[in-house]
Amino acid sequence: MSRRLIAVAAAFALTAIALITYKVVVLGYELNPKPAPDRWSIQLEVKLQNPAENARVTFFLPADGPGQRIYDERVSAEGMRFYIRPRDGNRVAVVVGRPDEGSRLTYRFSMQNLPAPQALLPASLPPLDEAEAKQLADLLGPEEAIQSDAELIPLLFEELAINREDRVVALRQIHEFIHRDVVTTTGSDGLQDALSVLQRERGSPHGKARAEVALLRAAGIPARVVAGAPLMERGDSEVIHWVEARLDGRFWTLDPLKGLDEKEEPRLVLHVGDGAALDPIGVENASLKVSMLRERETQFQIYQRKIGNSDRLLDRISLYSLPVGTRVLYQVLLLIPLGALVVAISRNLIGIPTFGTFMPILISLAFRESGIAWGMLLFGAVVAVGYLGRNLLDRAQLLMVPRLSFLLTLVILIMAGLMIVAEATGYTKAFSIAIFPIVIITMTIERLSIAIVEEGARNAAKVVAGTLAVAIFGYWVIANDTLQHFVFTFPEIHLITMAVLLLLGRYTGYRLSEWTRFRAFREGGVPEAGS
Amino acid sequence: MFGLFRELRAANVLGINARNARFISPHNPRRLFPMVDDKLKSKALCVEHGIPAPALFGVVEAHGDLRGLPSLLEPYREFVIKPVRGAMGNGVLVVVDRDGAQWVKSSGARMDDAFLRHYVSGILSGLYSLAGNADRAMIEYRVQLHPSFEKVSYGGVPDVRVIVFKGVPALAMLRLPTRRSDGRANLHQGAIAAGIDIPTGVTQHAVQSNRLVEVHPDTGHRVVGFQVPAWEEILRIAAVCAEMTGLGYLGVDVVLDAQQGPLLLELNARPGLAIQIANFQGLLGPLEMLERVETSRLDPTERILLAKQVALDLRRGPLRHPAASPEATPDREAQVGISQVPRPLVEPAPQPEARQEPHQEPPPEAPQIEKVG
Repeated sequence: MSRRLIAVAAAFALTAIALITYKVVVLGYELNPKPAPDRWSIQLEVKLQNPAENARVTFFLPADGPGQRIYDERVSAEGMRFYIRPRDGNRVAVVVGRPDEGSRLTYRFSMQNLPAPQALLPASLPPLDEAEAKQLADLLGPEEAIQSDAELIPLLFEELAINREDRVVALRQIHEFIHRDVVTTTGSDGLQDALSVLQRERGSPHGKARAEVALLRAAGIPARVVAGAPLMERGDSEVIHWVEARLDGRFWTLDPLKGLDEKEEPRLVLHVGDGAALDPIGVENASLKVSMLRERETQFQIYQRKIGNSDRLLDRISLYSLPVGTRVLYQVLLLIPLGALVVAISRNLIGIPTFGTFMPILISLAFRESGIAWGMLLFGAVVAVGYLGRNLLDRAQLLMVPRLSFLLTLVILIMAGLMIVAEATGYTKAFSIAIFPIVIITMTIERLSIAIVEEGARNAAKVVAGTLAVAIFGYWVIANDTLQHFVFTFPEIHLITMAVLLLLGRYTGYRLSEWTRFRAFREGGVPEAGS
Repeated sequence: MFGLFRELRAANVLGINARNARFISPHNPRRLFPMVDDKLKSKALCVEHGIPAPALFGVVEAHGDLRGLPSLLEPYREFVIKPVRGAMGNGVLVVVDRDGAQWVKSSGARMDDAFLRHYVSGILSGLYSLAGNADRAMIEYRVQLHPSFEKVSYGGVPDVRVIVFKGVPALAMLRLPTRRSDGRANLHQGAIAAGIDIPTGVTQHAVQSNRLVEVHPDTGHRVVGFQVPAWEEILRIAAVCAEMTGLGYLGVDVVLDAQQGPLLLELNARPGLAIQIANFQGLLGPLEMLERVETSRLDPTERILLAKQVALDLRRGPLRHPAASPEATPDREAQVGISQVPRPLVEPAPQPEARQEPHQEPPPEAPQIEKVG
């Protein structure tokens, strides 16, 4: 290998490394991006049964808080009037009227979850002083369903030996009692106010939350019931209730169904206080449904903000400045050189035979959309049916271009048929086979037919297997999200790709396949027939 | 690569990468490729340089000419149709006889004019050409099986492949059709490949589908120790083809016709590597020796001499003194530059009877080896 070529390749590689280092060290790009803060798209849907002309429905809307930020709110309430009102530190939606036929009452919004840093309860706190107690009187007094003044409670405190001198110890004892000793039910066991739950020592999660708040308030610890929904990847969520106790100037979440040491899952807070989530008037029946979908703020949005505010040259010439459509295209295009590298290695270092040079990459790209299992299945099906069609067609002795065009039409019809099957069975992922390069499939079928006739089925099968194997290697590279992000952020990495290709282009050593092909020379002779 | 290939390297096996990067790309300028890829051009060159080749009966240039095909074929009973830019014998149709309005294939199958026209149309559309581009079809003389091949060939005509490097034949093999290869001289399909000893033209090693064979599976006659007829003429054709095309690394395919003797069938600018297994000898041996020899001023006769020297050198180690060679006088040898032939890597034990008989004794019935000069 000539020194000049090695020098050029080394220069390419060093330039790439220098650029990447500069971008990471000086401009602050991440080599391996951290997941961005989580976001959810959430929808509250209120279902109304037989609403009257003047129906009036009130429900809580989530608000910005220490653990969440709400934005992009959209309301759909056709035929009704929709107001947002503050109430007791919450926001409520007041909807008046009857929805139009076929329309729904929905409130959609995006929510960013801001998880609080994990904190430990203080070790010990003396009872609340007068001034503080006066300030937090709202969180200490009894409510309709939170009877913190019930006569039962002092007896219970005696029985449980609640420590009245230390709020932290008292809180632990009360939570332990609610969590362990009060049986959790589905709510069909009777009234779910705090007193009933404490008398029965059984209750629904909501009832247990009320009971816990009542006990905390009786022990001189400010507390409240909170309603919300657990956050999950996707799907419907139900409204749940838990407790927040105020200690040391902040609220602590207490889930009556979980121990204090158990990790709490992320939640959307709908409202604080013990109000009902939904208050329908003039409606036969109403229900509230919460559904959500997790979104991840992509690194794109973060980098796009970054380069928008930067005056550095390398920030300015970034691919992140491209419009969305182009960007998606280049995200894929920039991975193709890596696919080509895979082909070069497979062919020149390993010696895998393939149909055409870049056919395997095109198949990998298709696999990237459809997933590998589906991709293989569909590719196999299309090629097999196409091959049968081609063989039948051979009897008609058509001219080549009309024959290829006929085959092309056949391939498109097969794919259209598969689409319909996919749609009917719900495997919509198969749709992405549409980007399969149809003309190339057609040519593959044609070449496969000729290869089978001229080189024998075994050799043709070898080439098909080789093509698929390289396509699968290519898929591993092309379908890698981390790699895609890396290449898009640092396109200069392709200087290294080019350096490797330059060196590979002058590789004059043996291919791995030649180890087998010329095994006679390793074994000292060609084996005799029959051995 | 990791010592995995140490034995292949020691056996001087040429790999595809090395063939392409070390031999084809520096020695075969791209602009010369059409001369070998286009069989009509090679044929014209042959006429110019006095190299015998199968006679050309006609060319079908375009679909419009298809109507004239029957009248073009009128005078002939047998012929071969092939694409002008085909590769590896793809798309070759051999017609052995006519039977009324029908044509008879070598397999005995019958075809009518319509089928023939369809077939030629496929060629014209580029079905068999390298890049799928539009092509032309040529119709030429069908080579007659040479009587000496009757015992070692089944259903078709054998051919000789010679790899020529810098005008010097480096390695050669005889491809013998079998029943399994359907009468074609195509190694992939099961034809026998027999390595030919360059100095004598006697086959010395034979394989079929990577298995050693001694006798032809269909005829039962020995394929090893077989004297290729007109060997010196074959070597001459190979050597002249190199200078005629200007290609430094060339595969020359020669067939033997019963009446006309050796005819140039096809040239290949990217000859395959299976010839190494046929000979059980690596190509790098002769190629690396020849790489360091200046051959541009040698005439074909001198290059054939050099080829034989190289073959003998590789087999036995270097000649102790070039003057010991009876084929070359010392002054002549200085002129042809044999003394520049480098020493092989392995120094052999001194052998008193060096450089006389070929390694493999030719069978007694083989004809006398022709001497050069």
